[in-house]
Amino acid sequence: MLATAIILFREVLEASLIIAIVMGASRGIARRGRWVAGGIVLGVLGASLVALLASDLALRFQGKLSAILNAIILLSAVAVLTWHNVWMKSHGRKLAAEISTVGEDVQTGRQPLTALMLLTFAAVMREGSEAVLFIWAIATSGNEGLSMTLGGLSGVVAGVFVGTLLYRGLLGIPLRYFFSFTSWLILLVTAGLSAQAAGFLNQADLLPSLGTALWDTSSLLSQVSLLGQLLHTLIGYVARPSGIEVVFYGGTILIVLLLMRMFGAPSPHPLRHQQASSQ
Amino acid sequence: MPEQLVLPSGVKVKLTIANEDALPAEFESYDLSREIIVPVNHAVTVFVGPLSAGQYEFFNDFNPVMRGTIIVKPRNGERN
Repeated sequence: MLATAIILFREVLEASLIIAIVMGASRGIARRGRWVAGGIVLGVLGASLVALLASDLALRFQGKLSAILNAIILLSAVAVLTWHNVWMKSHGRKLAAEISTVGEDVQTGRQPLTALMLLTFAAVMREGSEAVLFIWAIATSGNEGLSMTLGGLSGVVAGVFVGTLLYRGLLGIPLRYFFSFTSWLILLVTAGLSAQAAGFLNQADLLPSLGTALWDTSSLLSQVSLLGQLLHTLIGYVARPSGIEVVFYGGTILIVLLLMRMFGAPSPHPLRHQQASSQ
Repeated sequence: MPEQLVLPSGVKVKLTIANEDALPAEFESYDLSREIIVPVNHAVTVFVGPLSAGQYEFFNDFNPVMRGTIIVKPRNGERN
């Protein structure tokens, strides 16, 4: 039962952390909760569909398709997060000012609500199909099915709980630094997801590995440990990265920063809003 | 799942992973960045490498007690 709980906890953790960051970073945008919830529901449905088809897909495509599917999901998350950061670069200051004057749930500019939903969908779908497949298998296996299912569900609850902690922690950051902090965090999350996508594309034989285990920090911080796993999601920590993962990680950081600089002009009257916020 | 698998370095290797268990498995390796679901009574193929000499761990993400190590040894006549 405990083993099942741990497995499910690990499956849910990544999606939970990403949703927590997204919920934090979209702070102040009205009706965001509804869209994020919609993304979670769609993600669970999508994950169930993938889990249902898993054996068929594996048989027919020898796993190549699932690697490509994973890479597509991860890269769409990368695209949405990149866009989010560019959007925040121009709206973040205004948003912070409005939150401090009129409180949360303000209306501001074009709201990236569909983007939020897409992102949540991608995060849940990616890890969710494995979680669903696993729970389904133990629930129908008969022997100890119930206790293992309960263990699995408590693992899910624990994973969601850690996400909630992160969300609470983020909200504790002073509003002045809030959106620039979440932007930096999202930049690193995005680079990490991009590196994961590179790993899957290499697994599908579409990209060269450019060398395995360029360096090895597993004696310092094992990727299997809880901290290693948290950092894997939050900053893309990999103990023994391949060349292509490093290239994608660094390349994504450079491209996102460049796009933020090119298209993320600050909103028209930041000064006026700042003064308003200090009153 | 073998506990140890010895492979030559510097070449791409095709692994066939069969699941003879009653539960689905997920072959996963952080060291090789590989992650693939293996349904019950099925086998999947995974390419790894070219690898440099050393040890690479793998495990079943759905049952982490099932784990093993790929040991990569330099090929004859190759300094690595």
